[in-house]
Amino acid sequence: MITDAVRTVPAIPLFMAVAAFMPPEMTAEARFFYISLILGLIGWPTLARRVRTHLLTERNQEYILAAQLSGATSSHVIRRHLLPSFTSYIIVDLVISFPYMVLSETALSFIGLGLKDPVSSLGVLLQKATSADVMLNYQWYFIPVIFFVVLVMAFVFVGDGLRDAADPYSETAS
Amino acid sequence: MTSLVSVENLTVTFPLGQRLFGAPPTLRAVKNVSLQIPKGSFFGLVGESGSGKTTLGRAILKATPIEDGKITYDDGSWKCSIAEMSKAQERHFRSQTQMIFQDPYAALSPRMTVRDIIAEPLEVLGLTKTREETDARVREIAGKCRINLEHLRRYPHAFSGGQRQRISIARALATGPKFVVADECVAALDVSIQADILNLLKKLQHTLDLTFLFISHDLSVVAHVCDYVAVMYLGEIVEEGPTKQIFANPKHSYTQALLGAIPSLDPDQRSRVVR
Amino acid sequence: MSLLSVDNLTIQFRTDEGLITAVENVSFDIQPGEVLGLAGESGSGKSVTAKAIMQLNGHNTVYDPASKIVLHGDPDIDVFSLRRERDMLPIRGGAISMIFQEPMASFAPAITVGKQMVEQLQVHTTMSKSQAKELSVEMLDRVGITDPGRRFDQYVFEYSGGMRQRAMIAMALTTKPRLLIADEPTTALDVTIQRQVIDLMKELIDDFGMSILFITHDLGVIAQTADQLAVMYLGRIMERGPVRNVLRNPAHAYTRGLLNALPNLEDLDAPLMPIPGDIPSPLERPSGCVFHPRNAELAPGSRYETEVPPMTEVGPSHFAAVFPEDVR
Repeated sequence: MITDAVRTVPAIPLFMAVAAFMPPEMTAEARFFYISLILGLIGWPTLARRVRTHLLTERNQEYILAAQLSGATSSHVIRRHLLPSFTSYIIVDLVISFPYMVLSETALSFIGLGLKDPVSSLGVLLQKATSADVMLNYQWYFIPVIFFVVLVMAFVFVGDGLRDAADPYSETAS
Repeated sequence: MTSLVSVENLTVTFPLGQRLFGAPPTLRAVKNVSLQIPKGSFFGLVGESGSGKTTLGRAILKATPIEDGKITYDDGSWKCSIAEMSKAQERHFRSQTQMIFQDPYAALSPRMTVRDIIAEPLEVLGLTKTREETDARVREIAGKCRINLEHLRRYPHAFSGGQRQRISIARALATGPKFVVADECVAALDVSIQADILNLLKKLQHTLDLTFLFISHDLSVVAHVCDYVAVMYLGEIVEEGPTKQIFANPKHSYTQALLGAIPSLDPDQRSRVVR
Repeated sequence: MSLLSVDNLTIQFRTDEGLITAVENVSFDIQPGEVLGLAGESGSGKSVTAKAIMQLNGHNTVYDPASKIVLHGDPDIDVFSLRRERDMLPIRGGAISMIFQEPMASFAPAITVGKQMVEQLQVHTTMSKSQAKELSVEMLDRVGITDPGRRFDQYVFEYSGGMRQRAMIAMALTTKPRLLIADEPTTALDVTIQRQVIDLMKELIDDFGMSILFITHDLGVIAQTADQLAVMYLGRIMERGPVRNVLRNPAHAYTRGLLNALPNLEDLDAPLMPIPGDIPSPLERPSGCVFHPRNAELAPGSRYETEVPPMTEVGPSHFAAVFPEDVR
């Protein structure tokens, strides 16, 4: 329920509100820091939800009951059985969220709520590409998009590989 | 004939769903059941789906909450009432009782080696002091269950249903319990392997002096391995007694229906008649 | 003239670990109006064989070019010659129907049972919707579902286990198939419900006159329903013949082993006799007779270790995979 409530908070208006409150003399680093903080706060419910569903299914597995019938305490069950089962989820989520964070930062900087000149980032670079003049005449300003796509794909493949290595017996392993 | 487990007027209910106001409707899985399991016996509990036999087995091991009634465990030197055990009593109880499950695939953690799976109850209950001691005990029990010692290092997914079931049995026997609940533990196995596992259980019963509560829906299997049988239907025990007697002369109509339903291997005979 | 002939069926699967042989040189015939029981344990290949008849195996299936499955009629249809999916359409659900172990998996959960039955009829026949509905309700009644009119409009989760199986049988029979393939239809049922479903199937055989390919591991169920019995192990047929002959005079060691492993209700004190060893993994197929490593009756170094025994006649229409000199 809580996760759902957090997820309903719309991201862009929230950022706009925060941007409005952030004094312009704040350094780029501080700005960056606060943006990361907020992105993190908004992002946790998705992973939390998935892990929770996974754990609820695992909890009902018979080998958990077998451990309990041997007198295992909850902490033992969590430590020995449940925790290892979702490390793969965490690893994958961690690695896949890198590109999402990059995307979010890009989006924010693109609409001017994130980093600004002279600090450089993919979003800042793309912001320059918004004027019609650039789109018509200086198309090379769009090159950062290619980098972005390559970056995201790289992280996705690494994440998949890590997941397969960490938990080869998960059902999704081919 | 002393009873190892004595069940008196046991009722187990489950809530069905949730309601915003008031109590949800409940399902009475076990209704006012009384049962005596003699020490050293191979006690069969037979029923179809929905009979409550699995719930009864789990309630005896305190794996489901009990609504009403009393279950007593008394092995001659130690006695307790299962519903009201203290933490310390429960620890001892857990070392004396165990369960073997139906599904050989869900009952073993896919991330643990066979050795760790069998050793887990020992480690949890702190029954062994050193790793060498645990290893020795694991090897001993694996040998009794005819598990190849080479296999101890491997993971469950490498094994067949029958081999996994042997691992389950080894895990259940690692702590040296006196009472084991076998919940449909041969139902998921091929016929040729079933016989093998059943023979193993009978042999272990004799060498380790165990009492088994054998839950099954398969009457022909129960007829062969159990000394006593209780037949359950919709949460109640409709008939119980020594196996040969029940099969030769079933008194309750449900028992008769169950026996009559077993298809005969003789094409010219409709159902298997017991002489 | 048989209804269905299967000749030298060999099926392999392409997997990450290599090519796995699931079925090897399986041949059998089904006569019109006959029930052939296909018995075997896990890994025997019985389900794969049945699915091959309906071409329901996955994309990684490799059928040997010498395999032949022919549905005889006017005209004869060679199943492997049908290149396109839609050529299979008149066969699947039309000439041949199939029922499975899990009825819940066969019915779409979000569509009423009646609608699915009508849909099937509209695909395979030229009936109007109302005619199809009438026939479907009649079939539901025929399989013993009470109040069929109301049940027609219900969803499959509102049915009990036995009822679902009956509904699946009803749906399979509305198109009046010539062959019904039943893949473990009673395995998931309670024994009392199983009894009812077996009795129902026997009645329907008498009424409809279709042939049935009955796949199960339960020899008792086969004894009660089948005319012919074929025993499979690890993808090969070990023994085949009239059900009485095979059960009363088993000629192959595996059949004998299976029968001995079953609990015998006549003598409750008799020990249970398992077949020694385990079913080998499909990656480690034994050479020669695939059963030889578990055959306690064989002396070491016998012919069975290296040569595949032929199907030798051991009785009238009764064959077993043994060498002629070993026929008792």
